[in-house]
Amino acid sequence: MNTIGEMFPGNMGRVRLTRVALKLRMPTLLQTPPDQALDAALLTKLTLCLAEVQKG
Amino acid sequence: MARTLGPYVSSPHGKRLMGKEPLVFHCNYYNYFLQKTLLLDDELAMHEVIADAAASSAFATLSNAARGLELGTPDARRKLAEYTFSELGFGTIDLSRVTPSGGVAHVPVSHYGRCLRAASGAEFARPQSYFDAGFAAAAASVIHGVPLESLEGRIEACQSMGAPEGRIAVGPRKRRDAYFVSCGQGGQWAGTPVGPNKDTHVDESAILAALGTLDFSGNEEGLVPRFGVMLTNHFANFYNRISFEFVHRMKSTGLMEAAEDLLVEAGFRCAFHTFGGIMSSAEWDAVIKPQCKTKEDWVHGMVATVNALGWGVWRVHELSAERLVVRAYDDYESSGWLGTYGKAERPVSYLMAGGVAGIMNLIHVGDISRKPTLDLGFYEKVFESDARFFPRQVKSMAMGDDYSEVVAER
Repeated sequence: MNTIGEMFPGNMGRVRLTRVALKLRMPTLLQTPPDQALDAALLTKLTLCLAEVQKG
Repeated sequence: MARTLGPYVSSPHGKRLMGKEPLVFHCNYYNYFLQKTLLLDDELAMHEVIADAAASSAFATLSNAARGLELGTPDARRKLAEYTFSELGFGTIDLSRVTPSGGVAHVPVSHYGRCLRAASGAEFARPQSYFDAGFAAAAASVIHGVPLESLEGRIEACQSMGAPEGRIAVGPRKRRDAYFVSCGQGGQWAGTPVGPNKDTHVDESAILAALGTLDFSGNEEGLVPRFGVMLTNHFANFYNRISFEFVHRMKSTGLMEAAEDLLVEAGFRCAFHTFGGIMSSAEWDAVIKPQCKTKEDWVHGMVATVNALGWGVWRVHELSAERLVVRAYDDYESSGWLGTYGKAERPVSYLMAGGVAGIMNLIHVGDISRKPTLDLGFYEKVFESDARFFPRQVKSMAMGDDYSEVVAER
């Protein structure tokens, strides 16, 4: 997975992405084209944050 | 179960009060998803806002009820607080070891500590019982006649983190910011709402009469298991404070609209589980389903039921298979905004928006009449559907309109 669309698919993915954007305070995430390749550092950051967000 | 409580008092436009505070029914799923959203950004310190909102709402309820009941002793006021906690579905709380200078409140059963796990689908990273912390501080203040401003509750143990019981340490308040003052009923529209939509086989007054015979008091564990969820008969101004303060704190981040989207999403979850549970219930089958000859009747039946939840008066203004327009008179979110902040610059009825779209999604996308299992898989199926409904808030009582209006369309 190396794009927003692959990491956060569908409508549910959009909700998860919104949670991640809030947690990281990164509004630009919500404007990033879903098929745009992300750099490795950002991918790692998003992966870690998504894991945190998916905890209760 | 005989409990000493402030009496339930009916108020115009579907409101129900205890200790002059409006109460609204909400389930563990809404409570979970709302709190999950609020706690996303640690820098916002929303856990403090949640505890403070609980303290302010509980203080208003308990102090008004104690005054009205003329409870002259700390012991009598302690029982009022413990009974109120259980009656409203928050669990059980033992305040006997909290003195005027502080102490520990024990919470053998906590809605927030125990019942949110069913909604989370995962272990918790942090305690969830901030509401209990605020409630305990407010109770200590009312029981012992100590100013609320001098106290705060701190979570020592929470069932959400595996503790056998919750423990709240009540002690001197370390923070210097003041508690907010609950606005009570808040802004109220002076007019009379239109009557129920007549273009249906559903009889709203019969539905409300039947629902009025059900007991929504907390059981011996202080919980309200109904319709497949755990209900709370909660403080409207608690929800309003935490939601509106969250949006306010998000303003400077460039993510305010995203925050609002997540508040609406919490409303979707609320509708999915509570409305879905209601429409799958024996009570629905006995009272409402026999009146329903069309899918539109199901919508009218659900909207009629909403009018028993304390959320204001909902009216179906326009309905087809492709579109639902609901007008709400004195929706509790707008009432709370007006009572606390004055006229709003943007609509604030997030829960209402999620609820209105949720009704159409359950009936027209999920076909709730087939009684599907209301689990995450089914939620995702409905939510991922290209045919799903989205809400738009097009009028807002908080912004000066006579009613709030939500349009749900595909």
